[in-house]
Amino acid sequence: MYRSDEEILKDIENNNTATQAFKELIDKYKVKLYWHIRKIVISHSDTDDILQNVFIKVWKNIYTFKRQSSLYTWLYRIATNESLNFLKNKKNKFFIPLDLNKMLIEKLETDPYFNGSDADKELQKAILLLPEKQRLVFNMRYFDEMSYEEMSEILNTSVGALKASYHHAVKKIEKYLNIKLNIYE
Amino acid sequence: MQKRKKIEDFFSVPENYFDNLTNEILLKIEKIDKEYQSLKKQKISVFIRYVSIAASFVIILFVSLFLIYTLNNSNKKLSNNELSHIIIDDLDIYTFQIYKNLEHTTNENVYDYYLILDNNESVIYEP
Repeated sequence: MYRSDEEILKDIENNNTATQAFKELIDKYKVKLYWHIRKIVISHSDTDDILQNVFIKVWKNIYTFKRQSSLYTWLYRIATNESLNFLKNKKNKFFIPLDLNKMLIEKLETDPYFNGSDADKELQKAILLLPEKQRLVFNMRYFDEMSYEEMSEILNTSVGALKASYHHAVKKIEKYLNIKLNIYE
Repeated sequence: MQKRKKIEDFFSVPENYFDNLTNEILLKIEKIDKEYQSLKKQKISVFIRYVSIAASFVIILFVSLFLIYTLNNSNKKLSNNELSHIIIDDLDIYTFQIYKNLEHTTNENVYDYYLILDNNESVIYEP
């Protein structure tokens, strides 16, 4: 059982207890953040790199955290931005712009850590074909069951826009799966 | 009703991944902190070096200016027959008067011919 964010933050501010408290913070959020990042970048090794960078960034900037939002929201925001930047850098790495969705689907196809069935894979492909924002919103709403208000804080987008994005995402996924499942049948 | 799948049901992670993750991150942070500290020390020592170089230049400049000023002054005094003004503190006025009065020293080295007088203008030293 972990202590409250407030207690952990208080100990991080104290030089004598900072490392131990930060360890607790990592333990508390590593799994949640890992899966949040994994949904965005798919590959385990990329997720591992990004997650480590996220915690290093948190360590460096924890003193600037103004507590206007919850720690959990702040961490999610950093993880989301780091993941999106990672994809953006990957896209701009080569002279010919990469088709990011195609690249992520290829990663999914070759991922040794994918456990799902064929239908599960098709669902993941359908999600990966969505535009970036819709994909983020769908993942956070569908898998993490996050409220629109929380998502609004993390993504800095209005609740209305998020609801619209989710609605469009669901429609597109349904359409994609209908076509694919009909082919399977 | 079928339970909605979590993302963890689609993907897996290498064995013991999460167990080792915390220590791995803490080690990286420790390494980065050490690097930061040594960089900070380096920056401070570079700063000190620059400051000491700048201070040396300032000192050299002041010393040079002082020497130039002193030499200029002494040259001026020599040309005005005010030799002892800068050589013997307190007694310089008297030596200057002596020099002016001792006409036979005009073409000689003034250092070889001087008198020191005290406040009552009585001779206290004559070479």
